[in-house]
Amino acid sequence: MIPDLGDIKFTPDQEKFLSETKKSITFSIDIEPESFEIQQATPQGFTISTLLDDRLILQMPLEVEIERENETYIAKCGVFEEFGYGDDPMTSVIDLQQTLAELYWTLKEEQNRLGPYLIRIWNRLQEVILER
Amino acid sequence: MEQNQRDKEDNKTLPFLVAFLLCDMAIREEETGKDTLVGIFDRVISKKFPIDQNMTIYFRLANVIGHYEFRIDYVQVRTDKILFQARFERDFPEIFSEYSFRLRPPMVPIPEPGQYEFRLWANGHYVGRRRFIAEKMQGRKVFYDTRSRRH
Repeated sequence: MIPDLGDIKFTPDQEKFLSETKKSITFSIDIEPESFEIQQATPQGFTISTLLDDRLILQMPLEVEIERENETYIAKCGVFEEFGYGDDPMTSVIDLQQTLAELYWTLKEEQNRLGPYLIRIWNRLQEVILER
Repeated sequence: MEQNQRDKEDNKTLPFLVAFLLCDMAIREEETGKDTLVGIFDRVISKKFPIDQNMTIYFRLANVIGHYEFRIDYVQVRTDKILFQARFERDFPEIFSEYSFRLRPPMVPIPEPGQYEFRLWANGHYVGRRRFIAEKMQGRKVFYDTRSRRH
């Protein structure tokens, strides 16, 4: 049976939140006081933990760099020299996640016909990605 | 990199996002642990902005075991600004289970029409997002064009 984790309640009102927390029996959530100041949401570099393919699991996080060229955002994964594109940062990350998943399945299918460079990429992919 | 090293030392797995949805209400049946989501949506339509909207954020994770620190950023896509942020942590005892979360912020601010998203982070790693679109309600003439209905 799946354990019941209960509701999570949170609020932008710190004082109100604390009173809610006392009533909560499962979770406590802290709202960052500075979160009410305007913050940039997308860091230039961060790590992703999924590839958006329910057949694949990442065994270690992948580092992603976000760049902007005019109106297009580019998510770069330097390890595999792959890119994703989008109108906003996280859409470019989704494109990158899908690209990496496609790369995995393509190289898996063609693994007996790969050249030295792609063999290196395929070996690295197998270190990072696990099939569910 | 430091986080990667810590994860490796702790032998932590990376969460797999099974579902991430916005809805009016999420009901858990206590006997079975099953969740029922009521009024799933990806669009908020209002006559005026800014507004504060009630909603439930539902997500379900797999491939987790041990202790995780989560963060949810509520982001206005046009400006790439965080409108609010919540942090919480949780221990997961069993890796072969899936775990559901229901979040009910008292109010979700929507300052203007456009795209907004909730971004989920676990131990500093990006897990996924759920986006919704806020639209201004058009006049009745646009929504209910009687001429096109008659002909």
